Amino acid sequence: MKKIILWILILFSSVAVADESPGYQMSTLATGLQYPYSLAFLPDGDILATEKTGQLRLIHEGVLIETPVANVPDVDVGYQGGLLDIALHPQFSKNRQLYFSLTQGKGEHSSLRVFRAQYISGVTKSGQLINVSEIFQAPETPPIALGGRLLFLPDETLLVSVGDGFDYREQAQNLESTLGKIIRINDDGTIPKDNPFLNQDGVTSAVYSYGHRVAIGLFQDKTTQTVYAHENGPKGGDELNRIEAGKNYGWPIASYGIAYSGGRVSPFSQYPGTEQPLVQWTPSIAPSGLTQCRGCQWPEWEGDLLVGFLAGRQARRIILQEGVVTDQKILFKELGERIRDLRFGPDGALYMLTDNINGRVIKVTPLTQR
Amino acid sequence: MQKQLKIAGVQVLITAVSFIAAVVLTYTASSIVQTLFTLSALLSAGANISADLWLRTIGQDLYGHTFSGFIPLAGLVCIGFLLALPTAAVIAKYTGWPRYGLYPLAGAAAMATLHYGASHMIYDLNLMVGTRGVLGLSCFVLSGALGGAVFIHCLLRLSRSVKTNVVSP
Repeated sequence: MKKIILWILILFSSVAVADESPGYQMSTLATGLQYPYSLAFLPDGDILATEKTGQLRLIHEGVLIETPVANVPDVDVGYQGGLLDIALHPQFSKNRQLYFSLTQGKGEHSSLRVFRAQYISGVTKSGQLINVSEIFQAPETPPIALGGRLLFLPDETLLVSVGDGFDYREQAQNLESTLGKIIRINDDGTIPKDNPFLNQDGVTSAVYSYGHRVAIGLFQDKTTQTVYAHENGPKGGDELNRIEAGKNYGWPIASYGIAYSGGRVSPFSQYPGTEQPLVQWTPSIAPSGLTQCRGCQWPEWEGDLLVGFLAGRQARRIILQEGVVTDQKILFKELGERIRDLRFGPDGALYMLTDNINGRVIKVTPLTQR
Repeated sequence: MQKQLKIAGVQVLITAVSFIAAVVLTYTASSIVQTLFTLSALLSAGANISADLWLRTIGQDLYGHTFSGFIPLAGLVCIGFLLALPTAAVIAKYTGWPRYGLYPLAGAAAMATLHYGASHMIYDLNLMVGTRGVLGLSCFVLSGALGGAVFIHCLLRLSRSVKTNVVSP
């Protein structure tokens, strides 16, 4: 009975979508960013933003500094490849360490890499990176379906989403490969001793969860410790999942999407031993960026997830009740822009990145706040 | 004169029937090839697929490959054959090369070009999943050769039978 109710709620969640009445106001914090991809809030109030074209930019007191941060490694920009996500080490105030994902290698030889560096401000106007080192490299694929989202867990291990590389989708089920996985590594790139597949024959020990297509949204609820990820399906079948260690999320054996050719990816939308999404979006609206309101400036949003969408040119507030998606509210559709990332800042305001050559950082605050 | 017009009309009809047969066969074969290779890849990834699911997926894909995707396969096969088969006819006329060799070659070339075009629509990615490997691609191209062979076979057989009927009292 409980299962039936859960399924009814899941079904309901996939259709109940309404526009949110605009209880917010938007202001452009910075503009002129080339395909901005991700944001990090520094303890001193500054913001670091990655541009897919390979620059790390500093926003100081609300002003985008023209000179990029120095010493960012070379990036091979192409199709979905470039400088991608950025994450601060949980002890950033002490060790100044930050992590970023990028692609290097041309064409078929492109690969997702994760680097660690220390950020030193003050030397130049935007600061510079020192002690830059690579801590993870995914197998070579074309620069598409890359993933690259980074998430630090409270134990200071790092989750990295690795896409399936498009042409290699069956690798998402192959535990010897890191393609189509969320991997978990220590802050120095070594493997944590409590990883779910540690020291098993024929398995890459870094694997945390598998059966993912391309997750470009990764977030942990700081209250419940639940990890959420969303992933882009092919033609349909975008998913929001609750991520648990060692679990199989189905791709490509189970999918609600179909192939770009119009054929089936798989005869199965559900398959024994694989996890069902909390919600799936068909047709695709290409989720990108994921955050959650915990003490944000909208008390009525408390606990809700916020997802940005590229193709959908909107965001959605995903309302969760006891771990089940019960409703979705469309936000920021009036922008008409692709939303690459969204995050709540330390001030509880929402910060969004728009995905275009003249990308913006948009600050969103409640309508009543002046 | 009237008789000649009638023969010409019948000849056009025969060509159209042969063309449709070739397109339908090639589309069906190439769609099935894609389904078989896609499902085989899932088997190798650990899926267990029953016989009825294989059949159902073949049926779904026969519809989907034309009406649900970014690549309307039946339409593209049709366009490909509209270019390739007349080209084969011209080459046959001016070179005297055997038509039973030329037309299958033209059909195969049409499918190879279709694959090339589809795999360059977005970067160098195989939008048609079944043609990722050499074997899948070969079968896909062979389905075009099969269509070319069916076209010339139907065309010659039907033309011969019509001529016989028209000439006979």
